[in-house]
Amino acid sequence: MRFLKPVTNWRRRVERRHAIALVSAVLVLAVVPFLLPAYPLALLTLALAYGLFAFGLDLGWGRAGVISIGHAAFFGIGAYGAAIAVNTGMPIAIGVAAALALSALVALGIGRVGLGGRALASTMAVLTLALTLLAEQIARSWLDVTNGSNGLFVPSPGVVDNYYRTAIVALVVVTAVWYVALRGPLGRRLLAVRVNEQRTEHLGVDPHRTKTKVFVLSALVATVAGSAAAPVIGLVSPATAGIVMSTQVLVWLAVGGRGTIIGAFLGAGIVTIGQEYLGEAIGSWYLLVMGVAFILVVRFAPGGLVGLATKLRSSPLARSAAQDALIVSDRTDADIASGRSAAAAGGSNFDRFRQDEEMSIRNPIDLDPAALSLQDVTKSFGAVPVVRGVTLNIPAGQIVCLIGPNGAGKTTLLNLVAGDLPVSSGQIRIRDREVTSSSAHERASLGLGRLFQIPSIYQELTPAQNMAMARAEAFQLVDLPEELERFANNSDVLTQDLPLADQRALELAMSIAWGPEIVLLDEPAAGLSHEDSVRLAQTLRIVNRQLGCTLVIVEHDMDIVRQLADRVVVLADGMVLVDGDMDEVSAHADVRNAYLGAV
Amino acid sequence: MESLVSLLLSIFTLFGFYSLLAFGLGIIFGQLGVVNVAHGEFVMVGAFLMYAMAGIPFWPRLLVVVLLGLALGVITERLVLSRLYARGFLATLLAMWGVGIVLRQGADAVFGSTPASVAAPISGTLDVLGVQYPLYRLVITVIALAVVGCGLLLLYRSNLGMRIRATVDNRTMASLLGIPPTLIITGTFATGTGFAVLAGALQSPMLGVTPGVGVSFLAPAFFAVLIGRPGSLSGPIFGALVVAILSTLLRTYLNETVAQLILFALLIILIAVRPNGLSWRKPQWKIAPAVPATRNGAPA
Amino acid sequence: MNRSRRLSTATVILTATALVLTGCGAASTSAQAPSSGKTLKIGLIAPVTGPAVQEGLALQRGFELGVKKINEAGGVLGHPVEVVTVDDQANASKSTQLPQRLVAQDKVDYLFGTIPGDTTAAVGKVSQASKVPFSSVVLGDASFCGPYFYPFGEPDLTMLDVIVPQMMNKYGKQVAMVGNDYVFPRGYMAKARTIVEAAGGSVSVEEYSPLGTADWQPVVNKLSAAKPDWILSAVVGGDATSLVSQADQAGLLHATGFSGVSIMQDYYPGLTTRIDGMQLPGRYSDQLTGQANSEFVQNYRKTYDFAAPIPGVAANAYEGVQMVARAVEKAGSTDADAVTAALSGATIENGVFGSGHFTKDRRFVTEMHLLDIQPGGKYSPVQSYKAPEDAGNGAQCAS
Repeated sequence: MRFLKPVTNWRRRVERRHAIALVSAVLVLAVVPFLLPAYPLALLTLALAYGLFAFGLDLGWGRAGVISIGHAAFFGIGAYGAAIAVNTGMPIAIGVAAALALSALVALGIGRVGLGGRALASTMAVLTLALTLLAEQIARSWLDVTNGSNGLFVPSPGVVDNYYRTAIVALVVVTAVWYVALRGPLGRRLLAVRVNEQRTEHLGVDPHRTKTKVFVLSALVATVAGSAAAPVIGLVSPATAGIVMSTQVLVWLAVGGRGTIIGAFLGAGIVTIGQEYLGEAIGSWYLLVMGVAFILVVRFAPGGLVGLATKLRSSPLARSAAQDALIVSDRTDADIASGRSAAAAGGSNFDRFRQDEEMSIRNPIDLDPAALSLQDVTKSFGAVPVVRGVTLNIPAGQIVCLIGPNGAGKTTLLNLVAGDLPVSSGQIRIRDREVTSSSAHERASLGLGRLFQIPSIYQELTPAQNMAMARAEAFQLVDLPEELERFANNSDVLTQDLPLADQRALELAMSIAWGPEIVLLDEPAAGLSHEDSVRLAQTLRIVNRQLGCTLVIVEHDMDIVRQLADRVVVLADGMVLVDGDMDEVSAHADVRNAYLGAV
Repeated sequence: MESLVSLLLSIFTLFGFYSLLAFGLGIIFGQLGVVNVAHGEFVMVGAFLMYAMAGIPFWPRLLVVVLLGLALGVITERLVLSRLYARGFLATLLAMWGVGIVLRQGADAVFGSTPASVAAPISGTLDVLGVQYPLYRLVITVIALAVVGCGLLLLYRSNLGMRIRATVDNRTMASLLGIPPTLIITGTFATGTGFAVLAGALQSPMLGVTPGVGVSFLAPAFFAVLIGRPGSLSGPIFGALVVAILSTLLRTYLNETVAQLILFALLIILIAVRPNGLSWRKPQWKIAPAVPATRNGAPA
Repeated sequence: MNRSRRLSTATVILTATALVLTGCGAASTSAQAPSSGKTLKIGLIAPVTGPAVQEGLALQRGFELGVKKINEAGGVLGHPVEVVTVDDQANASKSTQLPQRLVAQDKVDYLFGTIPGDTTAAVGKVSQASKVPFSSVVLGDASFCGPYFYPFGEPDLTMLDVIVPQMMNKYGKQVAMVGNDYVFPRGYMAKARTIVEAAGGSVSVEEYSPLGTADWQPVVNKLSAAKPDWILSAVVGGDATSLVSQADQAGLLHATGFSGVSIMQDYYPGLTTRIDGMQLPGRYSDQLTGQANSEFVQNYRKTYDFAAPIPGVAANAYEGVQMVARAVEKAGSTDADAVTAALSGATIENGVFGSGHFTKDRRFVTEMHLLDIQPGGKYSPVQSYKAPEDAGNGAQCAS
């Protein structure tokens, strides 16, 4: 694929329908105060502020699957920032700025721990829960600053003023976040991380960093919402930052529907306004009714109200799958040029290029003949040794087949090389770089591609989107062999609905389209018919010849091995038994003993 | 000396109560991946049921209440949760949140909001090393720990326990082996809620029973479950011990407000240092090498 | 989903919501003719859900009976009193928005109610900003004052000035104080401490726990360790029952005296026999004699099928709303300044708790009673005394 013309980001990110949506939102929001009496307008203002809060939470939860059950802590920080500023006579902007800084810091800390490599999904839940309890308690105890449980009064500038202020803040924040983050590389990576974290990591994207980024962003939006809500609520009390508020916002989002902008505002609006009028109509029973209604929504409408509405009419599959993320590279030819010169100047600083969304270019591989080298690598699970001292040097451009009986440690060895498992001892180098303790995405960003025994692809996206994702994150731009191009235009189906053989082919296609220098393949021919296997072997040959990819293939099918391998490595019992070409290997007596059945 | 003894006794009795709560919450979380945010409400239901059937003598009443609690668990699981597991733990969390509201408001509709109380079957105090300690508290703590102990034995040493753990590890395989997974899943949830209801029933003579009484029990139980090694069955009990010690120590030596602040801050730090949970079996205080998570604890 | 369609959906929904909201607004304003100065319209803010639901319900019930009585007697200024009731869930942010709505949309002439102190202050601020008079009826000093605020509740000092010296005589000079952690208990205890220290006693321990605390062991241990002669408690709601039963089981209540707002009528159903024989001061008891009270008690029990001791806040609401009605009648209009002028000199004669009046700093004082708790929840008056005119921080609020 080539970038034929430099396309400015602006044109690409904002489509016509978006402009229409923005204009109509502005018009509706501008007109509403002329239609509504004071109190309903005040309620609507509150709903807008709460909607912005829900939108903030949705950035993390809805779009990246980052769990926060204590998000009101950030909302509360914003509300208190504004309230304290007003009550001490400071400009409100200073209070809000301080609140934003505090939120960012707290979110960063929480994100680093709760979303880090060692964390479990539950870690984030318990951290955020403790955070909201802590925030509520601080607000209650720090009498001098927060006025304790009595809270801080924030005078309202008047219903209509308040409404316009809140509406403008909501509109600006949502539009800005949408344009900069959601339609940019972050939005694409969020989608990728949420749908398939493993694959995304092997495309060289750091999932933890991506999630931490969006968590901080989500906290910041919640903080802005809190600041905007302070004069609307009128009184900022400890409950503003507390657990009840934190669960409320989860409810709004669940009711409205995750992963959409309208869902966040709709959920907050319907619940906030609904409970007001329901409460008036049926008194204290309304809570019971709300509880039941809520269970019904969760049980029968997992997509919330927006999800229900979507079901009622068809919309393009690809668009609904992508949650409005833009899966194209943001690079232009100019970027590529500057990336190239930067790469030339900066040597092998891959990470920076990745994060800056620049183009990294292939280091001249012929400087070091070994694309991949393993030095005495071992791996034990508990007391059980699985890999027992493997030393291998694989020159660039070679096709190496790893064979061996079941339990020989072949897949484990691939996992060690790819960074999916840590080694127990030994050293792994990719080209001239020591990567023994690097994470999978760091290794990937050295040009290491990976295919799994069970294809790891973006199941909830279309094949075309899978290909686009790989190209958007590409290590380098390549021209795909025709054989693999067939998915690039397939937008009619989600990949989860493809037959297994196609899923496998797609994984290969996207991994190659990503432009790797070394590819690890784990039994690519398993389950394929003989003809398909032969075709696969041909394709792999072409990839190797045309693109110069080094291939390391775990394979059982000896026909394929015979066709493909420049070199065969036989693993048995976690050690290299034989290392040589096919004839040497098949002549070897030990191989016959260890590995007779499959030959 | 006296203050030390009464401190230890407070920790002991609080541990008994929390371990019952945390065990119930823990098997639901560890085995089903459900964060049961209505756990406190099940405690409340236990206490209210004790109040509602005040005519029956205490110990038989306890049995009836636990049976009713199990039934409530079965109904909740079948009606609300049964199809939500596949949708991940936030779906079930939100559903249970709804169940919590319904239970709370239901109790409000039936019993009203005036605090109710339950008479203790045992009055009087016991002299423990010079400290007069309420006998009833000691009795229920022993009961609670015994029940938790039996639960653990059952899970780890019995055929049924093995089946339960097998079901959770691999539902398809378990059903191929002739274990009905639905039954075991429903049973696990009902048992978990049964523990909560029992905890509430045992605790009821010490409480002003109101529809909102359960809310304050959720956070300590949740922390207990999550600072133990996630997914492990004895982890929550270890966690309950940590929470009981921390909370009692802080509340004894500091004023209440500061104690709360420090408790939450300590929990955050604890989790920051040991995100994979504490375990009393092999306390590994050295930081494990940075391993990319290969598998999430629960579907997100 | 198609974004422009989605947005147009949003437009439709927003417009629909707007229409519904305007519809509601229009309906409620057209159904209720704008206040002409003739019909008295009161906005009642009662937390009938949330943490203060118990007191909130008593407030609403007393108020309803009061309004019913006024309207049966011909209403105010020749029209029946109209009431708009809202539920603030004892949540201070709601207590800010709802009175704004009552004033702006429902055009009420008077605001009435609230339970927790922070909600009272919240409504007070709205009342002051919109110049609509406001009365709370919950006991305790409000942490707010202003020219439009007329609280009917018992001032803190009237609930302390007699019981504290009495308890000190009966049990001793070492006092332990325990309360929930919010504004009212802290203010109440501060005043109690002044009295204790003035009388030569000392406070051996003072503890505040968050609302909703269920495990009181550490607090009970601290109380036991301090070995006080008696305990003054401002722990409220379900927490009061938890504290008292746990202290009782630990044997703390056998020899140690116990009093305070924790044992008032509201909480008797949970406390039951554990507090029989204890004493506390109160403005109201359903055991008080008098025609007005027996009529009120009978009505209350019958209307609400209520057997427990009747809370004081119900009586305050019942008398309070009648007093507001009389003041409006006297002022001859619902004009805020005329009404507050009339309220300043207003009195209650032969009410359910005898008679009372506003002091100079707009606190309502009545005759007080020492109530002896007898089996079955009979709060029997055993001694009566006159409440002090100066109810504490008078200077701050003097008009």
